[in-house]
Amino acid sequence: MRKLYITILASWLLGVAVGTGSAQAAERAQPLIVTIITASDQGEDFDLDNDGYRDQLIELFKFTSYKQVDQQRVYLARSERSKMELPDGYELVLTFQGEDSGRLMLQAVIRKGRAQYMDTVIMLPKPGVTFLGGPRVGEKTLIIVLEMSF
Amino acid sequence: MKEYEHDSKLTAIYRDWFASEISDEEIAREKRAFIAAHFSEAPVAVLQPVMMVPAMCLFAFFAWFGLQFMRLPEAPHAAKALTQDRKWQEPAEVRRLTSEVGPTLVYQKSYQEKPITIIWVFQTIP
Repeated sequence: MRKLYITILASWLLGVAVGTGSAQAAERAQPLIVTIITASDQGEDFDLDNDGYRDQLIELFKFTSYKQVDQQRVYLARSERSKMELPDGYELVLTFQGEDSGRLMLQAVIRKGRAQYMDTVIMLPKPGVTFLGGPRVGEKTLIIVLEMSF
Repeated sequence: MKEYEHDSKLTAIYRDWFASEISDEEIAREKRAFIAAHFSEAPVAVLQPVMMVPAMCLFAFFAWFGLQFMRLPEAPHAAKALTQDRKWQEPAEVRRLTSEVGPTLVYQKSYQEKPITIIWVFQTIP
């Protein structure tokens, strides 16, 4: 009988541990794919990991050359800042501010030194894609692609 | 009747004999020594639920605890919503947009029935 009680207690503890972990992980993890691209009108090179981007970039922008600098899958925790180093001393700061009707409220800040090049709050659909861009990197232009995962 | 009395006496004799043997320290010591010399101790039953369930519970707890501090690895070839067949209807909604280096613009274009939001800053200050 004592063994039965211990088994029931242990099973309950196991369930609590696993359940709590899953719930917190679900609350915590908001996956977002961030792709950093520099674009210019010098040359006609497309240096991208995914060739599927090529057509979209041609249609969306008028640059002739695109180079993928970095791509990361970040997991955003609520109210926590996630920083990414960008070319030429820029920095991208993402903050997951909440979720509403299946959309992710995200603050994205592009800054360099003390200057804020862009500060925006976006409601991102799932799935969905948003481009941020404009800051200059020498003769090139910085483009950031934010993709909400499925 | 005599037979019954005889059985009762025998029972009493056996009981006394067993009691004396059990209570005899010398015999008990010899029994323990015999068992220790000829029989090893029973192994701990680690595979029984009473041991396995708490062990799994501890494992699950530490695994969860570790996950709290572990950064999930980056996906080298992450799924790309732009290039997949799945479509979506709603564009992103911009709640706020400011810049210290130039005017800003938000526009939306549709690519293969996928609304894409573009947030742009025209940098005028170097």
